Amino acid sequence: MEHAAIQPKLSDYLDDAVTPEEKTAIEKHLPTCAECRQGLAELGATRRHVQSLPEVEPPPWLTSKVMAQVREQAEKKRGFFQWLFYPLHIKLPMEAVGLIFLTVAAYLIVQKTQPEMKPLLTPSKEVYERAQPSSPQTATPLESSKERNQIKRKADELYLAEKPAAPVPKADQALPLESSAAKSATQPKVAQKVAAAPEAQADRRMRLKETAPEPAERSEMARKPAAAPAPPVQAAGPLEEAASREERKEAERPALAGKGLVGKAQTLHFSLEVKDVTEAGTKIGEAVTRLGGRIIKKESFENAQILSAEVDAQKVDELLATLRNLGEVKEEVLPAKETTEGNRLITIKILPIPASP
Amino acid sequence: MVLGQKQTIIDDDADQVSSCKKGDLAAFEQLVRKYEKKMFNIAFRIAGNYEDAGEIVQDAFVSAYRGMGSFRGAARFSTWLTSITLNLAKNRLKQVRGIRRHEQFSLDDPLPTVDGGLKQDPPSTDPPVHELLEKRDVQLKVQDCINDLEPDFKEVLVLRDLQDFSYEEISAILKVNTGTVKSRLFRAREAVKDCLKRAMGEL
Repeated sequence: MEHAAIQPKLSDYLDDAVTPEEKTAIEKHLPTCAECRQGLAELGATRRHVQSLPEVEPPPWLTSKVMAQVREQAEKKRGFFQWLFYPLHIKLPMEAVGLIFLTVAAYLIVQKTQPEMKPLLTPSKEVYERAQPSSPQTATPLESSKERNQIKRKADELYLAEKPAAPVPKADQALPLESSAAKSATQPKVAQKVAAAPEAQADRRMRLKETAPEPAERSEMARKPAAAPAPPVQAAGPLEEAASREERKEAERPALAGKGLVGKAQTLHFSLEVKDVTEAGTKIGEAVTRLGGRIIKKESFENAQILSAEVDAQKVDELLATLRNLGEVKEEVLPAKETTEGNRLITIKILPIPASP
Repeated sequence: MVLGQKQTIIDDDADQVSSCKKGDLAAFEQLVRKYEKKMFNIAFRIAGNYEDAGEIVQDAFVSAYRGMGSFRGAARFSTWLTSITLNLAKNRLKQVRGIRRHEQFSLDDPLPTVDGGLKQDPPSTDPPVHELLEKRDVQLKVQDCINDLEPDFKEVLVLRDLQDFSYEEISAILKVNTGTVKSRLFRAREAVKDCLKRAMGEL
């Protein structure tokens, strides 16, 4: 081994941390090299000096100070674990309480909303069931249309008859939301009613088609199948719209009037074909007044009029006779049962006689 | 031999360590009492300051306690604790050097230090020089020379020549191979040797 390689090994040699081969080489080299001998001696002296440094005594309070800090840490650690697990004691009951609260709240909300829903949803169903107690299945939409019409009429009667007796919907409906809900509930009813007499409606449409000032629009409407019950209210021309509006009002009227005089029976719908619409309207008005009834509303259209009147049920036939004198009368909605008490609502549509082809 | 040692680490402190992990503070206190002097001396020789050493040792034990959960026994507890102490001592030294760089320097014959700065010469709190024994004088000079070493060399010298750790133990504490430990130790001893020769004239 060369001198340059030996020198760095002297430190290790001092610690006896060299391999046996290195040790042999160093011990062989040292007697020949004064520089290495001096270096080794100085390194040894240095090490002795360093090792001579006394051990210092740590301050006597060190242990207690360390342990105080460690205990503080232990507290913090426990605090952390408490923070981590403690919530379980709180969390579970809190979750349980929360769940119960939610359940109760949901139940109360449902309870509170149900009474509001009942008068809107149930009558027709109840009525249908009552109308056909022996065969409840007839209420399904699969039965014949004749049966359905019958049931519907009965249902309507019962519904209307029931309303004044139980003035709940309107009387209770102080909130505007509720009253609008009630209105919207009557609307489908109207649609049903209109649908109840699809043939009659088709008839009317056909007639309108013949007499209407805008034949294109009318024919488009006529093309729509009469069997489709939904569109009439929306798709109807001004005349029909007015008529259905009238119907809607009538449906509400019993409740609105609340006198117990009207509403015991269904509204009668007549359509009258005359030569002079205006003259006929005046005459009908006179006749109604003469019979002790009153004109509720009079709507004039181009070539047509709609009269809404309230007449004593017993005078209806008389009025009908008067109408027959004026022109051709068509009774669109026939009462299921002749009611002989109270007043009846009558809608008379006065149309000009269609020009003969 | 080295391999065998690494594979079967026999730790005298294993029982106390496992007790500590279960939260036994008394067991930890036993470890504190056992090692505080050794750790204090390491910290004192590295940091070169008695007060600093006390704080370093406190911090070292507290962080050892906190890190006890992550101590898996891959090394001896003493090795692990020494490693923590050394790191804290070196960090402290860095901070202190940063501060003391702007402090007192000797006006007469300032000595250049290893890192190119001027050797610090704070007013001595020791008794007058003429009252000191010669031995004490030498010790101060040796400590001064150790203080002047770069941290990497200083720690090896302190661990080997003052704390008598084996090369393998030093290698484990510093996480460097034994070759590096040997070369660092050689250079550290050479530097102290030169420093003492300058300070004392001869060894």
